[in-house]
Amino acid sequence: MSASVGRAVLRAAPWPTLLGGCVAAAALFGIAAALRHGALAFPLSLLGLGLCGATAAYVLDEASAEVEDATPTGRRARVAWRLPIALLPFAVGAAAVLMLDDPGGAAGWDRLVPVAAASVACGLGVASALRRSGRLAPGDLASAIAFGLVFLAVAFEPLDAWVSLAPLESPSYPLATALAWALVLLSCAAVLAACERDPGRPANRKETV
Amino acid sequence: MPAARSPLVPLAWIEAKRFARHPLFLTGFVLALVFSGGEYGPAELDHQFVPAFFVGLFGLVVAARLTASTRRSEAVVDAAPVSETTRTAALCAACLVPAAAALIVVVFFRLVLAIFYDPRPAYSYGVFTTGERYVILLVLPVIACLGAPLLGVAVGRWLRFPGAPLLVAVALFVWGMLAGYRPSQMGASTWPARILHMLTPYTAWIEHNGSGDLWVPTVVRSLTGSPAWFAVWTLALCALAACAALLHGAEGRVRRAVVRASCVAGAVAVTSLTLAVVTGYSVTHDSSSEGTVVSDSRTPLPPHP
Repeated sequence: MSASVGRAVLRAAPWPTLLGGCVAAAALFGIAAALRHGALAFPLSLLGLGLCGATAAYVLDEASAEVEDATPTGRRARVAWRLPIALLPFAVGAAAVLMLDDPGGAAGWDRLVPVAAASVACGLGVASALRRSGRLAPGDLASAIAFGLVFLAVAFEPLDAWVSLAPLESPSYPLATALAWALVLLSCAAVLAACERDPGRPANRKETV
Repeated sequence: MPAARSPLVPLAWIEAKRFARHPLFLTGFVLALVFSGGEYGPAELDHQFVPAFFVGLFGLVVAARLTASTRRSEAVVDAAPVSETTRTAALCAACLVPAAAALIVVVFFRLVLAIFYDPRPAYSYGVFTTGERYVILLVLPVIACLGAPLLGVAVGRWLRFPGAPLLVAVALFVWGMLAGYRPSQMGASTWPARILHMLTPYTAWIEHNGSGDLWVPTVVRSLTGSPAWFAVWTLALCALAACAALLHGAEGRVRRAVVRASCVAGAVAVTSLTLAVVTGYSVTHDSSSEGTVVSDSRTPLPPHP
């Protein structure tokens, strides 16, 4: 796919929604920073990270995908052009938790950077799975699902018996936590790769003579 | 010739079934039941958060999605002999589904506690009377789960940008969190803190020094305000949300009626908010096995032994 077509694919991204989501997440991080020494800073940060993932869920929205699929622009190539946009919500989330981090403080906020990455990956993964099911612009639904998944996973810690997903106050970053987030990232990448095949192209094409 | 039957009831029934079958609503409902299947944390009065979050906030997103779902076929729907106001009223009536779900959740929680757990010590309920406890545990969560989806209908009608339901849900959550817990950090007995603590659709009623699932707190701090008047205030907010939804597309006589209803709901809201602030508890109290004393909310609670 030529660079000019790629730039057109980039221009067609839902920029107002993406930028609005980033601004909303930044606003939440701003409130968290204002209350950083209170008990509310952590849940506010989690909401901000959830919003970063929710914003990333809009990156793949293509209302006219049915038409575009019929043109010589592969779905994977279009997704490849769109994916760098997801760095924007990730950058907002990662920068915010790094700025919240106080090197002398008890809580290591920088440990939430993997949560920011996983949140964005989760948004993309859910969106691509929904796209595979025929929704061309699944951002609205995918964002709600991704936000709920990330927020519930970190705020309620359902896997607390095995692994803490946001170990802010442990002396060192636990290996189990790193493995858990790496697993989430890999799973989302696998879902993205599997679901963004060009429609109509069989997975294993057998050559016949 | 028989009088024409109002289309509102069959429409409301259809919308209620759509609401009840929505995967997001079902997920929230199941999660709320799971989190109510035992003791909820160390403080029972905090359980209201579970239905309000899982059924209420999820319900907001569901209601907004159901409302917006007809947008693509608006031209066809508008040609049907049913006004937009009637369709919106049917959606508002369908919001009784999450309210009923919240009632099931809180009753389920009461049953689980009654059957499987020993009663908590009396001080863990703070200064609240038996009636006030029931308002906090049974009435407020149901109203929250009615109000949030009603707001979702209004969002679906008025806000057309992508992500609006999620953004409103997050804003509502942050508003409840800040108004619920921030006043006690700024001196809960001052007038601005007391007003801020009630000026929200969801608020906290206690703080405690318990942690995790197993510790019974040794000190429970009761926050300010009147639970009963707060329930009336949140009910008035529900009415205002419904009026805001109905106002979209309303014309002529119907519009005037909706505006009049909004004014009445607004007056009830202001009155009940004032009464919730003025007639409720004006200072925070710390309750422990040794009794209840007036406390300064800025003093941190003693650590759990």
